[in-house]
Amino acid sequence: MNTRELTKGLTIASIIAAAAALPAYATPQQGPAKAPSFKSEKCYGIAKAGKNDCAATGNNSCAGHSKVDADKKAWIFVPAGYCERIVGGNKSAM
Amino acid sequence: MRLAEVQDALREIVTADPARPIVSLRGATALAGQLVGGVRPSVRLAVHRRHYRASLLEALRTKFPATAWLVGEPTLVAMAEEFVQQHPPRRPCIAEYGDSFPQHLAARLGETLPYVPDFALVEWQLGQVSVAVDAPPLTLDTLSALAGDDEVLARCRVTVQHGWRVLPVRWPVERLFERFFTGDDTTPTEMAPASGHLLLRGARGEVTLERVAPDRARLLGALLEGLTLAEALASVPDETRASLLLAELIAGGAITALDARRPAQDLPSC
Amino acid sequence: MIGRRVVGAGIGLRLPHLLEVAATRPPVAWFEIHPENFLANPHGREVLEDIARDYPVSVHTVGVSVGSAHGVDRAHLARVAEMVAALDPDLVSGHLAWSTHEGDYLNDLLPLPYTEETLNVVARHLDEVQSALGRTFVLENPSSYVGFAGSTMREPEFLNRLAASSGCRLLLDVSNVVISAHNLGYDPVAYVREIDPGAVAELHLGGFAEEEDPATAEQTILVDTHGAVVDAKSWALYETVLEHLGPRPTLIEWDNDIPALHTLMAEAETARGHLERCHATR
Repeated sequence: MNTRELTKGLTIASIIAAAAALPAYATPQQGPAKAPSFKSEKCYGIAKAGKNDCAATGNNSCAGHSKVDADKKAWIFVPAGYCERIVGGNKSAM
Repeated sequence: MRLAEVQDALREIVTADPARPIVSLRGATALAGQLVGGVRPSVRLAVHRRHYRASLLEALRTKFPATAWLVGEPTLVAMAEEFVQQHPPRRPCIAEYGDSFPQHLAARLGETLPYVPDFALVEWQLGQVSVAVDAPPLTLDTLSALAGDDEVLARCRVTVQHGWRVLPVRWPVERLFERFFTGDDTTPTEMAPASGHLLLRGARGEVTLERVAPDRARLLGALLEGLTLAEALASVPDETRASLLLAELIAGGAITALDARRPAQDLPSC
Repeated sequence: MIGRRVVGAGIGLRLPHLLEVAATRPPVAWFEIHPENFLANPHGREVLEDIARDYPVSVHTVGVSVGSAHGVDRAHLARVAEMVAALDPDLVSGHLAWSTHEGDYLNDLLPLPYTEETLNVVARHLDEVQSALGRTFVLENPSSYVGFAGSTMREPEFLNRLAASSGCRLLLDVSNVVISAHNLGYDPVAYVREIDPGAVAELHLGGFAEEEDPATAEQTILVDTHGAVVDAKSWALYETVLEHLGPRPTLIEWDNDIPALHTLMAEAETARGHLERCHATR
């Protein structure tokens, strides 16, 4: 095997040797550290990748029209989501 | 009225703040007497206004369901309404609309909910990689065959799987995503700043996301940016560690091709 | 199959049905897709190309804005052209409408006055589009909520003249005729009879919703929601269309509140029945 250097001390041979010594990986999902894997079709994926169509919107489907509050900022400081269950993570705690 | 003027007026009406009645808009004044249909045709343009706004809001809600879970639907919708008003789409492909929504969230929520921008940015990328397709990876055999051309190989760039991303984060948002995906939203999570990098890998509807060591992130990031193998490896000071990291990437199926682009003028391409 | 002709009654292939269709290969005559749903969706594209090996397909663009005074979005047109080259669909279509303006994308199909100026603008863009695609473009009549006092011709005449001058063909959306005729107070049958039969390459049928005219509760407008079964009025006009034109490939459009695949197939079956009866009486 050719041992000309890739960088100082590093050669393709050394990389191949290192790779060959690793446990065989069947799929890219089995990464160097076992990572949690999620089937994401419910939230992302093929069916959710953008709905371009040529349909108009009926009156009963324009649910997004919330009234604009006079004091827009008020509710931002009172999140109603998982944020309520987060401890720390505020600027004051930093 | 010239066609361009008609379209100026209609564009103004369609994109105007929904709080403003059509009849109060410049565009409606410009079109006075030009429209026909029913008793007050300009008011019928509400159908177009409504579709424009509702469809874009829906697009953002669909793209950021985890962020909606995190901050609550009302906040997400209000942020989306602002975003649609301030950053309307510029291309006829709604699937691509919203890539700068995380920046808008950073500007509006970053002070009080500092982990939200990272979270939304990761969510956008999760959406992207979940529709990627992976390609057969470069094998050790292929690499072995090139073992005699270290000098050429050093100057090669590589193609990384299209569904892989390395993202810098300042907060451990991967813990929040785990809660989101497992549906465990009752237990509290402690969030403290934790700078680092997340590796996202996705293909055909499946995604993984994990925190990776800085040197692994740097190496992969360099390859994703199109640096040569030598340049990328140089980012890892310890040579043994560098070869191990690259070996792990190869064994993990990260690399699908050695790039055919000419690496330098006087050397043959890879 | 790549290059196969669309015949009979087809359905719109929407993203939520993509994997099911790929897996089950249902008995559908042909599919129509929006290319914009696949430009940023490599997985979707992969599945679509697999499906297209076994079915005739038609490409129905949403963002090719032939009515824009300031021009068609060339970058978008190039992306659509690439997809068309890869899929080799039987038909490629779009709308007589506009949606881009000075770099903004107004995610809607907006109305045009029917004047000589508009005719020239659209004809010029049709030339550009047909050139870029290397094939004939099929132009769909819009659903209208307003018209223009400055229009100097009716919509059928406008469409016929475009077909004659540019070589484009027409996609007659029967439900859109019902909608526009109701909203603007004209006779849908007269509209259909004015359309040049030789120019029509395809028909659409879709659901709509009736709601109060935003300007007054005393009138209603029909809104092109593509979110319901095809209405009886549309089926009746469809009969008239088939009498006037003869059979044409017909597409069922359902884009909102998308139902189960078999519901769409049932609608296509109804259309197929009309088409067969039309054949029989000729």
